[in-house]
Amino acid sequence: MMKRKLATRLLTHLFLMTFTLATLFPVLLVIRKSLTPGDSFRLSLNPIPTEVTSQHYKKVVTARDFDGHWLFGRQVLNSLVVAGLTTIFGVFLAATAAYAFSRFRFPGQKSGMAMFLVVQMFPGTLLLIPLYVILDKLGLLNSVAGLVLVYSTTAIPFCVWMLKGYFDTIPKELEEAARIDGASRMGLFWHVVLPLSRPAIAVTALFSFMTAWNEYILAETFLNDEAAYTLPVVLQHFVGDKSAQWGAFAAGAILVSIPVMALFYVLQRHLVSGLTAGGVKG
Amino acid sequence: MAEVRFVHVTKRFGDNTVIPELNLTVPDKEFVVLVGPSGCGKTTTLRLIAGLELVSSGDVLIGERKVNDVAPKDRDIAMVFQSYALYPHMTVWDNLAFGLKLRRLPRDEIRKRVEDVSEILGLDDLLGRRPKELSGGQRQRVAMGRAIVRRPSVFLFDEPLSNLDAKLRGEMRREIAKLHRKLSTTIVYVTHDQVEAMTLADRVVAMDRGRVQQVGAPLDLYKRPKNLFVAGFIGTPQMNFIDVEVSKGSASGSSGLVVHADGLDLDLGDRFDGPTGRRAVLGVRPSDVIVSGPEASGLAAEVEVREPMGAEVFLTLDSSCGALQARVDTHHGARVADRVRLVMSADKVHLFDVESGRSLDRAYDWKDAAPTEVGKES
Ligand SMILES: Nc1ncnc2c1ncn2[C@@H]1O[C@H](COP(=O)(O)OP(=O)(O)OP(=O)(O)O)[C@@H](O)[C@H]1O
Ligand SMILES: [Mg+2]
Repeated sequence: MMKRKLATRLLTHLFLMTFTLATLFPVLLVIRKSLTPGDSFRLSLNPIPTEVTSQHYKKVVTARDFDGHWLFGRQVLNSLVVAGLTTIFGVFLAATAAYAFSRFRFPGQKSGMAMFLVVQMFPGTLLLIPLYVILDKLGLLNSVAGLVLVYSTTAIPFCVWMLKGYFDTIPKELEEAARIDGASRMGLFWHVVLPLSRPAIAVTALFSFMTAWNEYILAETFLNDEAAYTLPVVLQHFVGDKSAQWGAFAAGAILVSIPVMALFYVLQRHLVSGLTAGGVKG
Repeated sequence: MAEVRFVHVTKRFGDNTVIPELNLTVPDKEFVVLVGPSGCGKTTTLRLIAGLELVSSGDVLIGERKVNDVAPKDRDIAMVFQSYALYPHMTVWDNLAFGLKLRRLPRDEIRKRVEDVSEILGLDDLLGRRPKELSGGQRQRVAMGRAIVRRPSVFLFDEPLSNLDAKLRGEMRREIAKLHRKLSTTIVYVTHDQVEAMTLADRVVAMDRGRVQQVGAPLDLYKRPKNLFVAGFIGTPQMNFIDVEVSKGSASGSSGLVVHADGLDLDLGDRFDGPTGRRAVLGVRPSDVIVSGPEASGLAAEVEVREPMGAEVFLTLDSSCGALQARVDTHHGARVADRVRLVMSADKVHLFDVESGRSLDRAYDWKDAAPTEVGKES
């Protein structure tokens, strides 16, 4: 009996370790690449670097344009601003919309939610040309505002679904109690609904941020000034048609993923369940 | 400090008419309890006062003010929900203070009120906790505190004790009675617990299918139920109902009614009035059924079930008039399978019209009553 238990345990752990390794392996290879001198793309399955250099990181971080302006800082800022604004803008609009979809009865309520779902089914690249035309007409090509607008609209449908599902689980009586206590609609949304929705807000915020932070195709299409590039575009250009600087590419990839990891770390303490426990009984 | 009045109020949800016509006055400072079976519209009535539902037609008045279109927060009411509805993310202190902060009371005033209320309700040690760290009884207290701290002119309670165990329910019931004496504010209280209704109410409103069946002091409803519904709903165990034939006059020469059923003849004197030669329903409370030995004269019956409850015993009796219940003293000698005689005193029984369900008691004058005012028990 004991033996069998031990055996199953070992097997389970072996299984889990294999998959963890399989998941982490590519990341380890990228780290190795970013630390190994040279740009060759030799296939080696050993993730431990044999020589270590910081040359690739230096190259990425200290890149300058023809006039000698520091590019990397500018590009990090671009990405942070675009992703940050997308998150704030997207989550705010999604939360208010989701609340309306969850609590009010109005014409187009059902079809509105269905539309959001349908829109999600098209791949983003399909929208490339229409979006280009629209941004062009609005004069927002090559600008942070244009990207924020586009990213928000692509992130919002998912966020609305996510948040509506969560709002639906918040007991109606809590809001009724708040209404009697003297809260306005906006007041109870702010003081009761949002604080109780922290986990869902955190997830949607993370989703919006990552959507904007990692997006490449739209950014590549809409931006044509190096100083306006976001990081995914910068990265891609290390291995573009003209060159294949795999070392710099790897170093950049590592640097780019740091803010996402940091954000995840900050938000994860909000990803808890049971926030509404104790409010209503029965 | 306000009376609540319903004037020709109706309430529909879609095609479903939940309240066909409601006329009701809750006098200032009174403790009024709404009772009735599940789904009869008690909660809906309360929510109409709170403004959480709007009337389909008619008027709701609080004080002298028509509040049909007034938002809940401006109606000067407070409500205690059955589920308590405490704000889970706030401490007890913040739960109590929330309504006061929204109303922008000065900070000192808020602190003073919260402290007063937490002293009255014994919440002092709990102020820093969140709802999930409280027991059911403590949550209940906080929910009441949140209502009291606002000092509204009307309190609304929707089955506030139904989630508590029996002992705690008794305690809280007495506490609510004390609170009402202390605050002397109008209270509308919904329950389907008869004990709560009988012990707390100045006035009980018995409802069935969205209609008021009877309004009166608790003992009025118990002693003089206006119709079959009230007779059957108030009192445990339930009143016995016997189908009888009504005829006029008697050997004693009184002008009153005599009722007959298989094995039962009862001269009712002149307490009741009604058409003779028709069927009616005789009502007798189990506590008014006297269980005598076989030598007495009365309805013959056999004891089928005997349930000792401590101070008293419930007997289920099989008679020619069907199964009847009696409630007797614990020392009563009747045992299962005993043959007994059931004696009913004419001044303790009730008589109802079969069709309308109305009481035939002379105390009630049905001449002006709208035909719809009283429903029958189905
Ligand atoms: N929002 C609503 N939409 C549709 N029907 C409703 C709504 N609220 C209540 N009803 C209906 O109105 C009727 C009365 O409901 P209400 O909640 O007032 O009953 P109640 O007397 O409080 O019952 P209980 O003792 O079970 O709480 C029920 O038939 C219920 O289905
Ligand atoms: Mg109810």
